[in-house]
Amino acid sequence: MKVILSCLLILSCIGTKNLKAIETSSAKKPSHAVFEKKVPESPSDLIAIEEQVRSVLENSKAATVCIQGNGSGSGVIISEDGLVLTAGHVSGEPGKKIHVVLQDGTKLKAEALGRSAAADSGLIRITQKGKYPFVDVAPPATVYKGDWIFAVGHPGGFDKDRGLVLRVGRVIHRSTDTIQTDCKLIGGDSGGPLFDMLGRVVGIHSRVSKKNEQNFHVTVRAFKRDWDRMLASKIVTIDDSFAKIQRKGGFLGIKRISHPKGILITGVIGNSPAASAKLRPGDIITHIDEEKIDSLNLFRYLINQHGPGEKVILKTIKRWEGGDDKIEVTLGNRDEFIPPKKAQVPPEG
Amino acid sequence: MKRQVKMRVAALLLPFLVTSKVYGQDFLDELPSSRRLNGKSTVLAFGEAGNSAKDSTLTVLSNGKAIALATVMDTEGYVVTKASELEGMEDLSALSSTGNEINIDLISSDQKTDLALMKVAPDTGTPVRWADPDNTRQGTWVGSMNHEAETLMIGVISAKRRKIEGRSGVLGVLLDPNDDPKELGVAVMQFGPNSPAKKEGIREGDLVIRVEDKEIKSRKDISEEIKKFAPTEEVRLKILRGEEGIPFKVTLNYMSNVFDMLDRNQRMSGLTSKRKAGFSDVLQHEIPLSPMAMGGPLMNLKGLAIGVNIARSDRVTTFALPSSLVKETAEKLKAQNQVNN
Repeated sequence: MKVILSCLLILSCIGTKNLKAIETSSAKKPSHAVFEKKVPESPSDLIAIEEQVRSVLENSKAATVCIQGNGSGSGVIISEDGLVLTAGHVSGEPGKKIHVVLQDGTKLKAEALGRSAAADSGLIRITQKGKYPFVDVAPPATVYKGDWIFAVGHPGGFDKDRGLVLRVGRVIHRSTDTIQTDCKLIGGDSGGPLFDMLGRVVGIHSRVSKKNEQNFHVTVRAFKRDWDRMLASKIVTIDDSFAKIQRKGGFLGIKRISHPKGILITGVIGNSPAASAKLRPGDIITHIDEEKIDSLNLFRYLINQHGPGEKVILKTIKRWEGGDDKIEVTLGNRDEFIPPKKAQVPPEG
Repeated sequence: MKRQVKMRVAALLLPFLVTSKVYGQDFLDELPSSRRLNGKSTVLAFGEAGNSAKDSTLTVLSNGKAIALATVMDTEGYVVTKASELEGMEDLSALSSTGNEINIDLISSDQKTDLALMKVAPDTGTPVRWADPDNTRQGTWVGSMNHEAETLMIGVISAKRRKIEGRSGVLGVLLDPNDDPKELGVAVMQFGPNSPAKKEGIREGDLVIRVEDKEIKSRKDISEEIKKFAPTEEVRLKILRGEEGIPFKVTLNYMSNVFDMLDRNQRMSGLTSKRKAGFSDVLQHEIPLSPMAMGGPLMNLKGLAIGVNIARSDRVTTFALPSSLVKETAEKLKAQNQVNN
């Protein structure tokens, strides 16, 4: 059902420098009231979105490139010396010589660095020396469900008469490695940038779904996680990227389902850290360590970032007592509560 | 007392838990469809301009089925629509924006713009008010009615205004790549989907020896000759089958009708217009309209039409003819018709 397209990512040659930019860039939003509303309510609300997009569009387009080498894809430059974020299926094999085409048609020599097959993130370096137009990358998790965003790319390949193609939409869903939006995508867009309303990269176009207005982008978080290895021109496998990194074994001890405001607790395991913290079914967890929870995946990911004995700060809405609460919880050891699955014995014969 | 309150909360919570079990977690994790770009609540923000789009749009029917939309030009009953959608369609009628089925007559068509001028009873719908799209920049909001003019859909101007090069008609054949330029004739190897050559009875292995008045020795000879003809035009071929020379007349098909199914991007685009190229001037926008929703006005937020939708090109692209070209073409077709009468 889901056709794999391609996507692009960019990080800087001096990777750590750019990662710092990711860490420290502030998470502000444009000031117009429409960006706090559930839906735009009037033509003037729509115009506010249009003007916000236009205020950053030219910069965004200047940094967006066409990638030619493994078919045609898109990408975005994120450092002055020419590090380009793209999709893993666009950058291709590390070390491969490819071309990066700027908006005006200038064709530059480039080389594929690393990529992650699991997340579909990829990295390219422009090897021709120069000072290139670039954009900032937003810190991970500054884009949420419902946020307005826009997509830019070279659908169907480079076309100078047409120029870069814009699409405006909203975030439908976000998980650790994937943002889903209603921005329309097609072959050739893969690797192109998804921007927030401040013109910062929040995702890289990766896959389309059968539904026209429901497509997938790689998150900045996925790039950040595999950054060092991608910069070192390595292929990051599923094992590297998920199994080893994500499970540190911290355990909270709740059953939960998703809820518009976070995650809703439906059960608490006896004697668990959650029980000690007096969490009860019906409570809603809205934040972990100040980060807003907008999906079950994100909740799971953030808890798994911690090991047993580590502390997390939960922001909750207490259903029974009423009001908000901030609780510090020391996570337990998962293995003490849920025994690891026994190794399966292969069937005889 | 406190217990009662608890019970009530539990009762409120229960349907929610049950719902989530039924639909699964992902359902609840997603932004509700009404709040998405083309969600019911979002498109309401288009306001009065949305009503203007509806009031100036008719639906064109063939045998009672919607095949296109039309834009109301004036109070005399003149409307324009996409000409190539009318090809081969019988028993035309129209639906007014109030839902009444009415008579509609084809006046004439313009091959260059792919616009057709039609006529309904005077004072049907509201004549569209035009705006010049000269200063329309990328990112400008636009809205149009979708299939059967039932719902408004919105999006932005997504790329530069420009010319879209034309595409000639096609025979829908794959020819022998090992043709010998010294020998007369090129062999037909295979047929594409919806091949008009196959429909006329040409067979695999037949040798094409003449196209119109040109003797054929190579594949290039054929393509050079076919290139001179537009889709739906008739081309004379001479075929050598065994010892026998057989004349054929083939009505060329649209390239997209034959070759879209072989194109990955077109396959992931769903239905698109059969004619989506050969326009001297188009605006490009992102509204994901049905190919059966061409011919309606493209509205800006002020409720003024900056163009008329002319082709659904692919998953991310819809083309509209700018207002000036539409007005000019409609006037030209009207004048021609008056001369003919």
